[in-house]
Amino acid sequence: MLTDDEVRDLFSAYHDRELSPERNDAVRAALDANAALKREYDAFVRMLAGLSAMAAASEAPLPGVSPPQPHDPAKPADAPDLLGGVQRRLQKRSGGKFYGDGWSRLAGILPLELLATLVLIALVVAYAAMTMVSTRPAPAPAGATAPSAPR
Amino acid sequence: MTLDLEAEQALVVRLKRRDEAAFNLFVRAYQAKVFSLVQRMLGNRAEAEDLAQEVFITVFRSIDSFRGDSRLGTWLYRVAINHCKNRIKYLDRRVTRGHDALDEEGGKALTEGGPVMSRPDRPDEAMHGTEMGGVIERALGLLEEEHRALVVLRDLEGLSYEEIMTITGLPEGTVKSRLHRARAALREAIERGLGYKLPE
Repeated sequence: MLTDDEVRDLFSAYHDRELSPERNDAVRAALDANAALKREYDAFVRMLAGLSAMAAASEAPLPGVSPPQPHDPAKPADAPDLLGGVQRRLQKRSGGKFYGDGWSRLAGILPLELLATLVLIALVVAYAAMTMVSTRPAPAPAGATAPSAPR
Repeated sequence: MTLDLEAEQALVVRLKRRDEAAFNLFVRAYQAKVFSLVQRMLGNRAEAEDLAQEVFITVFRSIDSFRGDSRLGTWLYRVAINHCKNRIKYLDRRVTRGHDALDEEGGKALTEGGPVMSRPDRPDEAMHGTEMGGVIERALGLLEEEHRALVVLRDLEGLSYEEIMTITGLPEGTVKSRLHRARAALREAIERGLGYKLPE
């Protein structure tokens, strides 16, 4: 014969049908025999039903997880779309390696030092090209003679 | 969206290659479940949205550690629950510091008594009233994170004991006994919130 406290300790397992047949029968007998204890158990069950009632809308079960049971609540229907935020965070934290545009992907793949060196080289080449163009003498007009030496 | 085992394995292979299209598919498939779980654990929509995104980022980064011992969804729950526990601890510390500051400024009275829960006019209808959902939600927030996780996983998410064992890493007997204690604690919290014993 179970004491009242022992029965209370078994409320969860009894509700979830996790007890052995003998134990299950013992709890049932105790509840049948004790009206106050039965009311406590009923209140316990109503509390769990209240948890279930928190469900707002049902949806497909999570892949890889067992399907919802009758007392299970479902998910809120107004779950936000997380994808954009996840993509932005991944892009930022990966330095553009993931979910970036062309430039940020390049920046993500190449080390920053290498990228800086390439930019410097490009600047030097551009500067050198501009310098060469500006220092080259203008071509002489057609038919012109070389200036004579001073007498 | 439900993936069978074969499709899931193919998805995992693509995720491990950091295939962005596959990751997009993965996020879309699981985001509602993850958000729901996190929101129930944290009780705050803005925090939940932020943390749910972090869960997916963790998956993107650490999918290589998924060995396939469990289903992908179960593993994802594990990642989410661990994130939730850490965030709850962080938020608790922040709240505690905030309370300390209030106490120093003589604002202790503002923080005493815990969450305010109004008593329904008809106690006998409390369990069926729409108010009860709010009372339970607030009571859930009063549970320690381990208890909260078990109640959420079992009674709100409807997971099996086996799945909860995988997610929490606890043996079966421990899951059962802690779940019982968690439910008892929840009942106490609800009764404290209502200010009277649950209707019998």
